[in-house]
Amino acid sequence: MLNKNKGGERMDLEIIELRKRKFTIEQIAAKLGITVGQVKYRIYKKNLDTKSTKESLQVSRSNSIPLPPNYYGENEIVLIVQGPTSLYVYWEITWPLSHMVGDFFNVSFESLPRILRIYDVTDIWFNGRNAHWSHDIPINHQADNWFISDLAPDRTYTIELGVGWQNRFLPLLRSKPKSTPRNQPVPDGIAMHSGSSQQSLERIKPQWFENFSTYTLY
Amino acid sequence: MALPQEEVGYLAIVLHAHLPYVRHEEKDCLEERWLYEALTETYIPLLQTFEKLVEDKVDFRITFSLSPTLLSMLEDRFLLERYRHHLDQLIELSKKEIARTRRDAANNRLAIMYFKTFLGIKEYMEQHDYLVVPRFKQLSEKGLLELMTTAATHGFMPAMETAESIYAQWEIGLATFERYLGFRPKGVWVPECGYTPGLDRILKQLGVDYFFCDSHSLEHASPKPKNGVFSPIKTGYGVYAFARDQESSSQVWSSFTGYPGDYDYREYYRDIGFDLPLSYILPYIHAKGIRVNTGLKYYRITGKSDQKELYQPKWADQKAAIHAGNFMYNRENQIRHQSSTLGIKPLVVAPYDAELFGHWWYEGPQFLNYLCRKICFDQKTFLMITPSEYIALYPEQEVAQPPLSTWGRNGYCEVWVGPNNAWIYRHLHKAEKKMVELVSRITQPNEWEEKALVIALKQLLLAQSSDWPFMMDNQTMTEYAVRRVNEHLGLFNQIYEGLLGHNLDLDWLQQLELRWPIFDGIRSSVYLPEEMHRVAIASSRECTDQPVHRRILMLAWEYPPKIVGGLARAVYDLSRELVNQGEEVHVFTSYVEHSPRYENMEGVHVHRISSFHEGGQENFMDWVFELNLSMVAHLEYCHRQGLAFDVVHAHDWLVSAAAREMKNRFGLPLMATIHATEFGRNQGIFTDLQKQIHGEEWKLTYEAETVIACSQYMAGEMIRLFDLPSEKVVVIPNGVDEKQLKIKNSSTFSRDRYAFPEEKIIFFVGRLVREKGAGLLIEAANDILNCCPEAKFVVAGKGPMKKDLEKLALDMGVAHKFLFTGFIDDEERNYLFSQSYLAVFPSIYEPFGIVALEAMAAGTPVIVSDTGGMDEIVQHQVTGLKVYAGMVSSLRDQLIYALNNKDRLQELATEAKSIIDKRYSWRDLAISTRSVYDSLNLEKTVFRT
Repeated sequence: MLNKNKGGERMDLEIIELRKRKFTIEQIAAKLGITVGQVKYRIYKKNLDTKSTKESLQVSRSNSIPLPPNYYGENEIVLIVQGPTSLYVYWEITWPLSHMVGDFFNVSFESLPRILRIYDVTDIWFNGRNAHWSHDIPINHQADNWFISDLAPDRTYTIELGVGWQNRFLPLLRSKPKSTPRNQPVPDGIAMHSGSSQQSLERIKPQWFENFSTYTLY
Repeated sequence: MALPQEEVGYLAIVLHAHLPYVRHEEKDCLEERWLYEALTETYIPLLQTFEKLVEDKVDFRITFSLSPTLLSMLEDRFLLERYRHHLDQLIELSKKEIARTRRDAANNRLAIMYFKTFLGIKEYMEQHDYLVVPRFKQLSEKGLLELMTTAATHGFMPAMETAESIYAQWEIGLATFERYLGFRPKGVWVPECGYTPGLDRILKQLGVDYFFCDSHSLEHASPKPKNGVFSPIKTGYGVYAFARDQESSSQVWSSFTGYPGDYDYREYYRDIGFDLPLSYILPYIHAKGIRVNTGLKYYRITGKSDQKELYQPKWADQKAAIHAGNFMYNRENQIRHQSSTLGIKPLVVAPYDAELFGHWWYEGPQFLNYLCRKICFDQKTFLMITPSEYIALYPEQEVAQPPLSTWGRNGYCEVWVGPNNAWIYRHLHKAEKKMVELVSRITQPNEWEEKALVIALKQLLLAQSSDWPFMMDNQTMTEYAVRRVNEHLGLFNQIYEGLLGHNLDLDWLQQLELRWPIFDGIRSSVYLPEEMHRVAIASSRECTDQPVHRRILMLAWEYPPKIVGGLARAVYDLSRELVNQGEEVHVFTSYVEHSPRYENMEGVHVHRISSFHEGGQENFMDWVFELNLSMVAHLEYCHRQGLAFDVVHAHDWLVSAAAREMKNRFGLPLMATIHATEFGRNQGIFTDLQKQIHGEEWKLTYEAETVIACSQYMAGEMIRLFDLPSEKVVVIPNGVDEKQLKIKNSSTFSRDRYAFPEEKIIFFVGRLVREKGAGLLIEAANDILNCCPEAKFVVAGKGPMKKDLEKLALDMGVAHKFLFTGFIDDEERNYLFSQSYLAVFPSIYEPFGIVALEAMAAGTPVIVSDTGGMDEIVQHQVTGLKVYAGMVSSLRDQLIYALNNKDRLQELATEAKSIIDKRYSWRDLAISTRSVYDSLNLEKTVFRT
């Protein structure tokens, strides 16, 4: 019994020491051969974080206002509707993706012209070839967002970011489609899709085009 | 006696009270004053006005929205204590002002007015223990105010990326309202009137009856509503949408033509906080000497110039009464006109920011006071009404769908999504998705994890306030808005990292919890994905309940039902057998039309991945690259969902880029099976395309820890071509599954289709390309037919050389003895095996020769050439006959021998069948493959749930 306590005390001291050296809880757990939960328990219940460790951690946390990261390391392109005739698009191309492109085509990625290609995909299941209309916008290499104007209202658009390669367009990222709003009255007699009569508070399945999506839909 | 006249229409005045959450622990935060100013100038004066109306028995209706952030601050003792101090300061200042202006009667009267007003507010607050929310509640219980709320932090819906985020904003907003008011509101104010299609669906789920939108939301709805904005519509999901009436709005809103710009009203921009000497005013402005509005203003608007005259409260009060009368008169006319035009009792909806009344337009509460009294007593044309009352009277409304719209500049999103603020959405969207990810991954959070999740959620909500992009657009207080967005998102990301890295600082969490005492009692589960339909993930989790060896990721560009060459079949058979032996196998392959994007095929998880161009690109290499990109993206997706793999097993160069990426970026051990090489297929590398493919093959074998070859021949070829160390190459032949060779229904075929009864079928099956040697068969045909006229050649398969071969047969004069069937399916192939005298495979290049193995397993005698893998499979005069590759005479001799020695041929076939069972069963081959997996470095590198 006595020994066990002593062991516990030594462990606590070690935890304090490691905390002072800014080890993470996980690192401490690995070092002491106990679970993360056990480390947390000891720190929290036994109040092991002394004033000095608290302060040092506090300093590291609150020295300056935290900022969102500049890069997320995820390849993505997203459209936002700005108005009936304009969209905003932002994107991120990660280093691995640009490297993959360069590696596959045996060129430097930076040397390839970068292009936004916007497609009108209203009411179609877009397969890459069947858009009603498309338009290319050359962009500079530093850009990571763009405003696109002079579009048509009440249309659905999707956008690709790609590179030019041997006079071809090679898409790298494609956005989810977004719809611009109508900006004038509907002609008389044009009906819309049938409505839902669901009255329950259950989650209702979407029936019309929505500009937001459930995250899990890929 | 006149009969009581019935009303012909309705007016709904809607006031939306909202402030962003500006609670700051540190003292002297400028933005906190917004709350104090709004309390002193708007909320309390409005309450006093309403309560006086009640006292005077004026029957009025006002719809009042209290935002969740405002409610939280109005119930925050810490802030209210500071407000008490603020009020004391105001009273002290007004006292000093009375002293300062004692020689100036006109100014002095104003100072006394302020003193009395502030004292009155102080008394009011003391009397009600500084809690105004119960005052609102009392008015709502009397049925005079209809209270409602808005999204949790007034998030701008059209720029949100996920349904989960929109849902959480509303659910938390409604729950916050319920917490302070004791009931759920029937309606909501949509922040900035920012409606986006589908919002009605979420509101419906949350039991909301109605919301407000801008005029053009209804004017442009589909189908076109008959009554315009003068009655609500029902959206497709059955939520009522009430639209703002432009005419009544602009009379109050417009700074040029609207009432608040009248010269007799108080001038907002002349405040003693700016006008008086710093030494005098210092104690009442910001501690650092930053001048701010104090609320004491002595001038009236006077005119457009800077020359301002003294404020005359009596004149202003008279103007408020006149303007109220004018507003009422205009509504009467408008309602009468619309009533006769539309043939209904029109409803005019007049929504305003509550802070307009009192704060910006000092006489606003007085205007409302007069307006309510006049409407009640001086006219009979219309009644004031609340949306709920209106819906109860007229539940049947037209069904239509409004388009995206806001009440901002030009009616859409440019205020909130513009050059000055659009940058925030990249971060907001990421945080939305990360929040969904967190709650999906941490399905059963412990106490601390839940705490962290909730704090992260609060940070996200706070970052989403539409106020921040509004301020950035406006270029007012931009710095503060930027700081708030950055701070909340920064903290969110720190907590996110901490949660996933099991690296949470508990003290720090507790500090954060104390710092943002808002939305108490919310649960992180509010952010659960809208549809938990992640089939692949769910079913693979089921698998993990059973003892699973490993999770293997196969990359194969073709997989059944897409079968182009032998690769699809080999990966299919191997994968199924691995599953039989307790491994979990996922196959990433290319999407093929009419097949599910994910399915569990005989225990194998098949992910069919579509790339940018479904069904292929014009340029094959571009398509291959797209496929590789998509495979990597799909792996990223799986990782985000918590599905991690232990080993990547890549098949052939088409998936080389993805395989390398997975190894290098995700740290997955990589093994590669090379089914054939570009060099072998072409007997050399000649074109740029071949060079590129050869390069991809080399890169794949270079990066792989182990390379599997299907034959000794191929192993040798790869070691030679790619300079591989021989210990890196392992030979595991392909296997054959005899079950796949059984004929299910022979009655669908008839031998007559292929040959006369007396003819002996010599069967060739394979792609019609040069290396498969069908041409040699045609060249040998004449000699063979001379000796054995009963021979009949059936050539099955498609390929680029089909036409050439048909022509060759014609030229050689043997076309009548050749049948080109084109592509045949497995059933037909099996049938032909059973009907054939022998099968012949005179390949020039054959890495393995699965088809020979299949023929042998089917019991059909075989003749093969002594090349590649076939050479290893067949032993001459033991399990079949062999010819010299590419030599017509050799082929001719063996075929003639075979046609004349039927019994011997049968002996060979029997022996072949028994060898197959011993050496080429998938059971044994999967065991060999697994031992290669065992030898790989299987250290887990990725978070796994």
